[in-house]
Formats: sequence, structure tokens, C-alpha cells
Amino acid sequence: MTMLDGGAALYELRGVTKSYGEGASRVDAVRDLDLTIDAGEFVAVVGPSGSGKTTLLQLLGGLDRPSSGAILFEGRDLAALREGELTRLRLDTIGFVFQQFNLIPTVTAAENVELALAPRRIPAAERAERVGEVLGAVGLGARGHHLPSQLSGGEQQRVAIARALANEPRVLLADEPTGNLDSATGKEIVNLLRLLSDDRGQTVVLITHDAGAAAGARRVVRMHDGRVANAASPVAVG
Amino acid sequence: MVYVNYMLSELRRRRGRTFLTALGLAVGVGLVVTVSALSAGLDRAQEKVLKPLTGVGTDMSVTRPISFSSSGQGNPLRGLSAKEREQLRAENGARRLDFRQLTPGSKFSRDDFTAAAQLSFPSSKVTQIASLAGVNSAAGGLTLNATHITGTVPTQTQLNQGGPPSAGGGGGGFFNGPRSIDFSSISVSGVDQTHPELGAITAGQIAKGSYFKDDSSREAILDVAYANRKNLGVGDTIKLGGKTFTVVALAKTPLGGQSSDVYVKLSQLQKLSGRSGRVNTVYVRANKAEQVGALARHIRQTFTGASVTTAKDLADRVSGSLVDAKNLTGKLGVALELVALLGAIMIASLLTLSSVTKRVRELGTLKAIGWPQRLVVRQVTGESLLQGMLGGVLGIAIGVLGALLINAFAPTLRASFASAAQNTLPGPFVFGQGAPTSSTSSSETVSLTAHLSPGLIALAVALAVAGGLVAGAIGGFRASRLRPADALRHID
Repeated sequence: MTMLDGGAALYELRGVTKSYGEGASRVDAVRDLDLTIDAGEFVAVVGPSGSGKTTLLQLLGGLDRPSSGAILFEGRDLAALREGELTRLRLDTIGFVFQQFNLIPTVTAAENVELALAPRRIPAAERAERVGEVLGAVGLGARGHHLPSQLSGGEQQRVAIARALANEPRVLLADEPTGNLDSATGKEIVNLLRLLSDDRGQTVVLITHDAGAAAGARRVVRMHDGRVANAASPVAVG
Repeated sequence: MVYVNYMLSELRRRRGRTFLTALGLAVGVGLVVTVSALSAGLDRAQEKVLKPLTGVGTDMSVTRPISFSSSGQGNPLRGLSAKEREQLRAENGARRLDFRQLTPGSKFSRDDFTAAAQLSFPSSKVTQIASLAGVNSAAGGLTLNATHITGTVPTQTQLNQGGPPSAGGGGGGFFNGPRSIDFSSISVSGVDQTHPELGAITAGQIAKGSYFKDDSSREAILDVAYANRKNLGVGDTIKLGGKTFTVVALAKTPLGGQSSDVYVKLSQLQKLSGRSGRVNTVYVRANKAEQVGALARHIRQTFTGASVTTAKDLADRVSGSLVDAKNLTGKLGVALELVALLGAIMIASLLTLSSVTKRVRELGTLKAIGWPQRLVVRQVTGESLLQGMLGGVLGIAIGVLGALLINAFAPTLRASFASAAQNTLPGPFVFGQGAPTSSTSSSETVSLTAHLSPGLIALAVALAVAGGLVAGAIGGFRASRLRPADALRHID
């Protein structure tokens, strides 16, 4: 497990703008945004629909490039990286969790996790051990052989989290992870993320429109109209 | 392996689509298999028909024909040298039936041997040809028309009524006078019995009985059709040139072969017909099949006026539904195969493409979690390849079914032989009486079968896999264009 010195900046966003469209139909999803995220933080980015939080996640994950500004990840500007380097980054360093779980429906939970490991060319024994470990970390050690259709929504999201953890990423990016879950299950998921952050020092960035889900994080960043509404300072949450 | 598991599970999930794609390929492949099997079957049928064309073992036959113009005008002897004309006259035209030399009212009988359309040549030609480079063996043959006239010499009054006797013309009844004259004409071939595998009739063509013994006994082999007409069988006797011959066998000539009514030993026919030391056909066997063409050309060049007929020449004259079927399969078949294959690949490609479009979120997710481009493309191509393999198996099944159906119905095809040389003489002629009546075996039927071979099966699999690869490449290309951000955006 890799861990940067607590407090070292993992992400540094300076004057980041992302626009779609041209001229009159141009839309600025993110406007002149500054943000710093330190290693080990559990940050929730909250905002209504259209506030630009999903665009922010895409930029943080290297899924899209900014129109202007710099996104420094561990000191490297993501905008300057080539596609192949970004892919490598997504494999080794960044983990994704999606609102719709996005599991491969035809293979088992364990195989879903294994698919994340596949491009790494790890020996089979080590792979199996890793799969078992992360599934255990999310509390599904015994359910690896089940298909997603045989698991509840919450369990499926846990598998997705396990998959995201498989390659020991520096940061876990979660896009509305509780969006398709009921509030009780949603709370469980946020608690799990909290646990991972506390116990393993995992950096977590959680995007959500749900204030209740955001309450589980240690820091809340509000977004509105493509801008950060409050200063990027940690808020102590009980 | 997890990749293969993933591929297989995907194909299982979209069972219907997988089956449809495979079926599309299978139909294309199956058609190729059936048409190819049909073509192979036709080739075999044609080979079966054409193989014994000149007589088993005979690669070509050499004759010295006299060409007649179709209108019958002009002197047909124009093309011959003086020596040849003399020979012709000596052999065929010398003895005319002159009743003035016979006693009216007395009985008479006469045998003549004529060969109107072919010039004879010395047997030394046979040895000459046999010694040519590339010739395995050569045998001489003599094909003639044996005419037999018996009856009573007509009286003066009868003659006056009928007018002067005219020689030549068609067979039978050329006298206007009394019907007291019997005229019969049969075609007879002299066969070199020391070459049982080379000649007008070969040992392999015996339907009943046994081939000539190599001795001086007077043996005859009859053509099956002639024997049936005359109600003759093995053991019966026939008269030829006044001599008695015992029938030792019945034989059937193959398609396109010149068949005579009666076959006797060459030396005996030569003596009977006053043509000792002469033949009018040479049957040649080449050392190698590839040499036949060159050999034929050589013989044509060295033997003036010779006509060389190879098995290929005869094959070219075969017509009928067999040939039509071959041509049709050849032209249409290839076109059909191409269209079917292209259609199949197009269908497979379209279906693969659409399935990729349906999996935008899934494939986008793979990219988001770190799968490089080539792995995503490989996954899609791999699935298509498996579909192709399935298509190959189904295609073989369809092709085999098609071939079996053809064999079950086994339609019969006909091969007809267009007789080439002009055998019938136009109008009255100076040589002998009557025209040669040797007939050309004109048509044969054969059953159509479709022939499958391991090579064909392998081809089918290869085509299906190739089709799967093409479809996979197209799908893979589409997959490569997907963005990992699609994992978030796409709602399906």
C-alpha cells in the first residue's frame, strides 16, 4: 500500500476551465476552478445537477482534458500527458466507482475484480490473492463466485469498489456512488469509503448531489455553476 | 483465462445475436462448400465420361482422312498425290459389279471391303510413330466397310427396265430392277491383338466373353448393339469375306469412340481385304499425359495429311447437360460463392458493429479502469473470431447437408458426342458400293453427385474464421473509437 506523507498535495487545480460548444452555444461546465486535494483526504464534492461536478470528476480522472488551466496530479500536469500515459495512470493510480456500478454482467464478482488486474500481467496466484483481499476488504469475501445479477445493489457497488481498489490506486474517484441505492444502503457505502480512508489512508473524492451522502466525508466542497462555492479548507466533521 | 471466459460469457448472453451472426457466416460458407462439392462432382462425372473416350490407354489416334466439301461439288481427290489416288482406286474402286460378265439367271455372291473416307498407309508408319520420343506404344488398326451382295443375275429385260446399274449411293436397294439381290454392309475393324490395351477395342471394353487369343484362329468380337440387332451371342459364327469367324466376345465402345459392328484380328482383315501390310488408323499412347499435346503436333508435322485426334479434342466435342452443368457451375457458381460470402461477412460485420454500439458503457468502463486500446479491441475481435468458428462449424453442416441432398436426388446428366468427321458420302461415288455405316457412340448418361473432400472442409473453416476476423476488425475499430468518459455519460 502506497501512502504519501499526510498533507502532501495529490491534486492541484489552477484556473481550470472546461467548455463545450462554440460561440453562442458555448457552455462552461467548469469555470476558472482552483482546488487542492491532499493525500489521504476524504473529499465530497456537492452540488446540484449542472454544477459541473461530473465534469470535475472527468478532469480529475484524466477522462477529459481541460480547455484551459492546469491539473497537477502528483506534480504532473494531466493535460500534458499522452493518451497512453493517461491509460497507464487510470490502471495503476486512479480507481473509479460509478453510479450504475458498471460491472460486467456476464462474469462473476471475482472475475470482475480480476478484469481490472488483467492488463498488469501479474502471476495467477498473486492475482487470486489480491482478488480475495479486496473482496474481503469490502465485506464480500464469500460472495466472489456470484454473478452481479445475484447480488443486491449495495453488494454490486461493493464489488465495484473492490474492483477500483484492486490495483492499489492513489485516489478513488466515485461518481454518485449512492445514486442508485436506497438511503440506508447508501449510508453503508459511504461508511465503507470512510473506513477505507481511515484504515488504509485511501484518498477518496466523492461526487454527489446528496447532502446526506456528503455528510459522511471529512471535507465538503460545494460547487455551483462551475465554480467552487466555498474555500478549499478542510471542515472538521464529527 | 479470464479474457476467454469474458468472451464466451458475452457470446452466451447475446445468444440469439451470436447464433444469427454465426448463421450468416454459415450460409455463405455452406454455399461455398455445396457449390464446390457440386463442381468437384461434375468434374468427376465428366472425367468418368471422358476417360475412356479414345479407348482406355489411348491418348490419341492418327488417321489419314480425305476431306470432302460439304456441298459435294468439286473433285475430292484434289488434295491427294497421284500415288495416293492410285492407291485409293486400287483399294476401293477397281472391282465394279459388271453384270455383263456374268451369266443371267445365275446366282452370285460378292464381298468387298471399302474405306471411303480414309486413306490407308503402310504399317511401317506404326513402327515409325512408335519410335518417336515420348511415345509409350503404338498399335495399328484397319477400319473398313464390308459389303456382301448375293442374288441372282438379272436378265436383260430386267436390266433394261432398271437402266444401267449405278455404283455407290446410299446403302441398299440401288437397283431399280428386281428385288432378287441382297445387299448388306457392316463396319469391321481389324485389331492388333498383340496390344490388348491399345486399339479400336480393348480388353477392358469386353462386356461378355474374352478378348482375342494371340493365334491364327478366326475370332470375332461383336459390338453389343450390333449383336442385339442380329440376335447373335458368344459362340455363334458370322461370315466375313466368305470366311467363317467365331464370336468370342461382345464389347461396348465408350462415348465418342468409333464403334464398328465387328472386330477381328488385324492380320486376318488385312489379308481378307487385300490390304496386307496396310492400316488406316494408328492408336498411340504417350509416356506422360503432359506430352500428349506436343506429341500430337509433332505427328501432324511429320506425317503429311494426318489427322491426330487426342482425348482432349474429343472432350471438346462433348456437349449436353453435363457440359452445360459444368459451365453453369463454373461461371455462376463462382459468382454465387463470392456474393454469398460478401453478404455473409457484411451481415456479420453489421451485427458485430451494432453489438459494440450497445456496449458503449461497458467497453468505456474497461477503458476507464485502465484497459489499453489494444486489449479492448482484442476482446471484441476475439468474440467475433469465436463467432466465426461457430459459423464455420454450422457452415460445414449446411454444406454437407446440401451435398447429401444433391446425392440423394442424384439428377442424371447427359453427355452427347457431336460426330466430327464426315462419314457419309454425298451422292454417287466412284468407289465401292454404299457408305460406311460405322456409327459413333453418341451419348451417355451419368448421375450427378456432389463430392466433399477434407480440403473443402478446411477451406470452409478458414473462410468462416476469416469472415469472423473481418467482422471483428470492423467491430474492434468501432470499439477503439469509444471514450472512457462514455462510462459516465452513456445512459442505456
